[in-house]
Amino acid sequence: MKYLRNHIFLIFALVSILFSMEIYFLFNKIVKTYEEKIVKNYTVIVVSKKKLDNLKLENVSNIEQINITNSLKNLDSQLKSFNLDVNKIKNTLPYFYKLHLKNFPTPNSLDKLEKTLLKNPDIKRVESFRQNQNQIYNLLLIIKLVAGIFMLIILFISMLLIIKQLEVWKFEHSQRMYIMELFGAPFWFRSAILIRLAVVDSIISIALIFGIIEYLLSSEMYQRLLYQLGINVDINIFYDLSLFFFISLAISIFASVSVVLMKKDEVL
Amino acid sequence: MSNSKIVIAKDLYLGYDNTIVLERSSFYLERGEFVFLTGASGEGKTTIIRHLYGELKPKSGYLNIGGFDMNKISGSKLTTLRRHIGVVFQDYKLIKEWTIDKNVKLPLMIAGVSEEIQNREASKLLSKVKLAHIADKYPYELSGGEQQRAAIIRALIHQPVMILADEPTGNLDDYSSKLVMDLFKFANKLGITVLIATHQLPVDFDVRYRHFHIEGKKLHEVS
Repeated sequence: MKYLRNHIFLIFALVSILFSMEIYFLFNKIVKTYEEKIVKNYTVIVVSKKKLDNLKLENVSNIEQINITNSLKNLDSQLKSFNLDVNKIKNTLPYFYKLHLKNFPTPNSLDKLEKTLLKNPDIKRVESFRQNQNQIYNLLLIIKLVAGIFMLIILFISMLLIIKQLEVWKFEHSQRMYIMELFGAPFWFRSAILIRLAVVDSIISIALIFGIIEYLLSSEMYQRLLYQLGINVDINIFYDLSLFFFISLAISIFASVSVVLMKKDEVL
Repeated sequence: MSNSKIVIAKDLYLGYDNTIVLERSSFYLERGEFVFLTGASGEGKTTIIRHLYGELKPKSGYLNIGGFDMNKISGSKLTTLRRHIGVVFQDYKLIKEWTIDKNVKLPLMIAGVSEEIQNREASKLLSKVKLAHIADKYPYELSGGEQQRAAIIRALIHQPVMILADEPTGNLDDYSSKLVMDLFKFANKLGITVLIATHQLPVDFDVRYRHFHIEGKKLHEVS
């Protein structure tokens, strides 16, 4: 109980930092996966007077000509009474193309692409259908931005908590470190107990954050969000936890070493 | 640390912050000597002791301890020097969350001595001062006299070249004071230089000693 009381600030700060980072990473992954999904299904339609054989464009992975014969045949069967001449109509129609993109198009890149295409005198029209995906994507971008700001605020508040914890530790351990110093204990010897405590605090924080992430990822709310976005986000929890363990260890060891260094010029 | 003079001071000015407690003093201490430093409260006995274990740097003048110039000593060399010095305080300064046994072993732990030797030496010395039966107790469970005996054992377990004691009997009754003084005599018999800062010389002290007195910022040897 005493241990928990003396370490609660650091553990709470570490869990807060790691949680906010996980939320940020998670939204990054959701946005990235959603972008990939959009790119996969997204095409820009180009209408041209002539065949576009040697068209080379930035961020365009593939140019596919749309075969309109089937569409015209369908039209003919539906409008039999009009007695359409499919071949004649086909010859009067322009060429239609689907442009598949390499990366997710931003509004700017779409503008640029449209302008480049329209510079070609043969191209009559470009349709990017940007409105269809923009709303959800912009919402995701806002959530990602909010998660980033949330992470920065949490980082700031957590640093204040860590400083508070350092003061508690300094008070608690200063006498012992002073006595060790009197007998010529080197820096590592004086810091050893604090570093050991820091490692334990990191392990406790990682265990807590593992529980929180597991709960979050299996929650109905999260599953529903992914379902509605029509994506499946692949999260390597062990990679994230390893990274978090390294981060929490670095923060807590930094805190421990700071206590020993702060003690240096103090005389009891 | 092979020279016979363990402390050499020339034209020394000592103090802390903006306060000077010792002016233009020269003295030396030989290896294996027993030395008393007396003076009234506030004259600067503690400040001199703090300079001798390197917590404070001299204001000016020359102070050499164990071959190290204390004006120029680096952090790592100070650490090395302190491993050859034992310190004893009026308030014992035992680590409260450690047992007496672990407290006593501290200098050997710092020196990297094997656990087997640590246990042997601690057990031998704790038995000598009749503290073996309370070795696993914590400082707050012991009397002042017992704590001070443990603190002296800690100061000599690594066989330092010098023990510095600041008012070691200040908080003790006559009986405990005598036991503590006997321990300092024992340390001195092992060849360790012992410097005790006290406001009053012990009576019936049967060991040859030198006596320095500080008064009015001057240190002089009493013959």
